[in-house]
Amino acid sequence: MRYSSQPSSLQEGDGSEPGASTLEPASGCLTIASRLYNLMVMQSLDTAFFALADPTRRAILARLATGEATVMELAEPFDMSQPAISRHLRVLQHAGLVSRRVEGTKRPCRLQAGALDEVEAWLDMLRKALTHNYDRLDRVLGQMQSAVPATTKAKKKQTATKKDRSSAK
Amino acid sequence: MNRMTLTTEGDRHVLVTRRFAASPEMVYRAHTEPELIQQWMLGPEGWTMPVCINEARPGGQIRYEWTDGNGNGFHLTGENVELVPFSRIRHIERMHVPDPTPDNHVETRFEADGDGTIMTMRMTLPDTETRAAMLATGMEHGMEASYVRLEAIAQQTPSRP
Repeated sequence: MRYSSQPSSLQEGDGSEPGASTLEPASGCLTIASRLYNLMVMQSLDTAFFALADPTRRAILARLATGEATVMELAEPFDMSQPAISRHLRVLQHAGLVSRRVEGTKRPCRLQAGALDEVEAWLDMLRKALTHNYDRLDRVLGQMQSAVPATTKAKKKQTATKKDRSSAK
Repeated sequence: MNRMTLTTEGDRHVLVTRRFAASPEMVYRAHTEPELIQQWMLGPEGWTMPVCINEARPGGQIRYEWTDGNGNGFHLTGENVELVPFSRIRHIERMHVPDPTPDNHVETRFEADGDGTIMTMRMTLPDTETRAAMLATGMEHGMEASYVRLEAIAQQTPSRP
């Protein structure tokens, strides 16, 4: 759904040039872990696995996290040809992690909008986590209220209990 | 009525509000007593907090450790700065993923609202540069951890209890 290529085109070294930019915004999350989860759910496990299994591709992502870069710039720190870097980029594009835009004769690469460094995505993650937490807190408070007569006693024991917890670690 | 709101304040802060059907005292206690914190501050379903330290005094240590029960986990450390029972908590926290994230200064207020409580939490939003640096430096670790996690998920059989 995010790309139309056949799974086989994800194999390295199939010889074709990098495909057109994947401009569709990814439903992003800040952390790699949740991004991976999205990849797994929304695309295929194989795609995510393949895109992130390679140390060069992980290094490319780390470099792009600091800003846009051309293929030449990306190739620089590696002992690798530009076509080889282009192949890695194509895999990352297929996985929805990287997009490219046209600027004159250059085609700079960047992290896919929303993929890794999007405030909205970060907030969305936070919102989900907190919503879960506070729904649970509602239940905890309900239990505390049904045990109201014990409240005063519990308060007195508070300090001692905490000490127990700290040392029980 | 008890819906949560989450908004940004400038580009440095996040404001969260939520109403609870319990007194400020109870909501405050649920934020400071480890045996209560452990029951709700858990994030995604299936995670637990086997270690919960919260010394409810200025300078008191905070340490929360989460696990998903399959060998994956992370922890948070911090310090309490100011506690005003049962209305205000100021604390500092940082996540370890595994490198520590920059300090997050959090202020949580509890105000009576009829027979309930309105909680307002104000926290620091990491700035763009910090997020980029976190991503760049944390990438290798994060990737490795996620890769291992992915592998575990891939190998998981549906019949697993």
